[in-house]
Amino acid sequence: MLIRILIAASLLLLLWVLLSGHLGILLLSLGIASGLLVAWLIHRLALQSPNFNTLYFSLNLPRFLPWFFLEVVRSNLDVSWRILHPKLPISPNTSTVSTSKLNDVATTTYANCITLTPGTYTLNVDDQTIEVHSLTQETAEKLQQGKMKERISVLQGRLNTS
Amino acid sequence: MFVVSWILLVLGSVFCLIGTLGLMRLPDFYTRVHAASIIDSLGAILILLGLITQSQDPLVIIKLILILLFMMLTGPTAVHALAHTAVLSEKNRASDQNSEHPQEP
Repeated sequence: MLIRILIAASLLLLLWVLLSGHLGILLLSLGIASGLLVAWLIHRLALQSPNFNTLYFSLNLPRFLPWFFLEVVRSNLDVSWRILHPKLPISPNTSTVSTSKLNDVATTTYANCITLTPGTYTLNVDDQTIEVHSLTQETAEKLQQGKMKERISVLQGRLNTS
Repeated sequence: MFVVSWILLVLGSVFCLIGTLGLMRLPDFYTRVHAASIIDSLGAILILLGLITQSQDPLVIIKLILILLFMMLTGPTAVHALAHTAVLSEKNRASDQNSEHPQEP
């Protein structure tokens, strides 16, 4: 566990140096101190889920992001069109989608991706379901088809069926 | 590059404008959140991309990309916190009213 904290702290220190651009002793030691503090806080939050493979997740991200970005653009255009439409063609509703077979990190990613695409956002996250508010009936139905969930379950790699 | 940058900046501003218009036009809190999410997804992405293409300094570009990444994390978190609180307070209000005026048998 100590190794994990040290790795996180050195990555944070790298970020610190990158952002500040100063290499003086005072600023560097402040950077080391805050890096360690933040790494310890993250560890205390227990953000690392036991069945989560960070490397696999990161390596698969480039395959997921282009599709996701396209999806964000598409839903942005859809919601913009509805806002500009004189009749305001919306049908707001709430629905639930299942998160079975997704681990903690994948569930968080899923909930965040739902919120990032305009037209849908998460109201509540349970163990097995996410409650979603949708601007229209169509976006809710599209979410129910589960294409996004499929792609995220690929992202998490190892499937745990429990 | 200059032209591309300006096209991106103007497009981003247009989406921010549409989002603001939606904030005015949509009927209630829950639907207005959808309009706000246009501003911090495509609006912010396009404006930041426009700024990235405008600068020559690699350090500035890295910082802008980091801002983009952090916005992708903080945006949905804030929206979720807001919406979740709205749902909870609505439930609380409903249960308060029930206890003040108990239903007749």
